[in-house]
Amino acid sequence: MKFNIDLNGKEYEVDVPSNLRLSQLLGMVMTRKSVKHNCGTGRCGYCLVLIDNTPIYSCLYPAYRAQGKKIITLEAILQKSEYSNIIKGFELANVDLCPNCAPARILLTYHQLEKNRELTGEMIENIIDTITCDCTDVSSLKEALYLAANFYKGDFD
Amino acid sequence: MIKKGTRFYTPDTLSELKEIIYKEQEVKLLAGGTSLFRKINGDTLVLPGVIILLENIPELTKENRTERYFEFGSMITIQNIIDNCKRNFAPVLIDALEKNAPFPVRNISTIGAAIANNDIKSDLLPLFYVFNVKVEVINLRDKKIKARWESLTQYLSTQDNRGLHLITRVRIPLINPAYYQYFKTGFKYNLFNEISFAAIADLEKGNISSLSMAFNINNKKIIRTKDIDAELIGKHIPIGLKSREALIQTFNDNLNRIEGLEDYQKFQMIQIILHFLEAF
Ligand SMILES: Cc1cc2nc3c(=O)[nH]c(=O)nc-3n(C[C@H](O)[C@H](O)[C@H](O)COP(=O)(O)OP(=O)(O)OC[C@H]3O[C@@H](n4cnc5c(N)ncnc54)[C@H](O)[C@@H]3O)c2cc1C
Ligand code: FES
Ligand code: FES
Repeated sequence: MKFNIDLNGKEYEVDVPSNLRLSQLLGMVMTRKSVKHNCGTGRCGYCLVLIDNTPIYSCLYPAYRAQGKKIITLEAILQKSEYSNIIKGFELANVDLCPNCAPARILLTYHQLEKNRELTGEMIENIIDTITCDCTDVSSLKEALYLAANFYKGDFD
Repeated sequence: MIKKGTRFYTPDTLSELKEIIYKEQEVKLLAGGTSLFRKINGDTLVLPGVIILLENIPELTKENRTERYFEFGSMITIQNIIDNCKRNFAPVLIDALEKNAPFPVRNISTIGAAIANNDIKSDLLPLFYVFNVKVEVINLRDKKIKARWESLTQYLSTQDNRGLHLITRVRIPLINPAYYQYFKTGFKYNLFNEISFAAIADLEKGNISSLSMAFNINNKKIIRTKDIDAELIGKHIPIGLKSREALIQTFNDNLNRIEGLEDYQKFQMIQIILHFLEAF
């Protein structure tokens, strides 16, 4: 079926099977590397994107349903200073995320810090708990998030 | 089986929804859509032939607050309720909502579907029972749009036979019980083969003056322990060691009368109730 989607501020016409999930459309058809279709059941979080500024697992979303909504993937923020600030925080904490969880976690960190620059326990929980990580421990992730928030607020240069 | 060519409808009003249903034989209503992942063939979603997305119908996203209750349109998301009602709701309600699936799932899964989803019975149902939640329902095959308020018991006990219907609103009473507990066994966002439990109670002069408890077993079976509740009302808290043994026996007798419960589940349920009574 044919429909239009708004991806990272640009309108595209797509023609795909009606049972395609948004994660498959973005990751496989439109080759946005930051969106991974992995578990397909809302468990790993690697397919996380923003729809109308709300984080969702795109594997649980029929692609067609995204019509008329604004989709944001990590690619949209790569050039922004906010992205470099988050990366600086992770670098300072010596946390080098692997490509599995990095895109979703950085996008979610960006989303949470855009909503509230003061990092709360609930925000940390959201960023850590909703995306599985197999290679980095929780305390390092927390430290990286605190540092990222400091760069974000401009407390560090 | 891979079904091709699902047709999607996104009605803007309830009348439009009724028109689509009049035209189409078999339809699937979709709220947040998070239950779709259950039907997967390899990596392919097995979708029904016709899907009606409910998200554009304004009546289903309205919220109404009175001094006694909150009414939520059935399409309001669980996360939305958490964000907007933190200050008004009993903490046990917020706690339960926060334990209901990871945050990106809660961002799309809805309060109406938490009640309507017959495939997986939600962990929230025991809590909704003890809070005396009510639902407004429309029978979609009727010619006229006639909404009816029902208790949760009424709704769930007739759910299997009622045909295509729509929950339009959910009413949550604003009560603040003195004692409460919400508990899920297993992993934080457990979903299958676990037990969830909710209880609210009040005390007068050290005696239990009101009590309501409910369980969800394996996301399949909801159990209200009305007889056990009645047995406990009037009992003095803390429960003495001597009466504890007799109580466990009464709990066992009551649970033995419920069909389909395994011994280990009864044991777990009794431990959960005792734990609640000890936490007063
Ligand atoms: C990763 C993950 C973790 C989860 N963890 C939990 C958990 O810990 N505990 C738990 O209880 N659940 C859990 N769930 C299940 C999830 O919460 C339910 O699938 C959710 O309640 C369904 O909400 P929805 O709006 O997405 O429903 P949908 O998928 O849109 O609909 C579910 C069913 O209800 C029907 N329906 C929807 N709205 C209405 C309405 N207004 N009127 C009549 N019928 C309607 C639909 O036709 C469908 O049959 C989890 C799901 C995922 C993906
Ligand atoms: S692929 Fe979507 S959560 Fe794992
Ligand atoms: S760093 Fe590898 S999964 Fe998180």
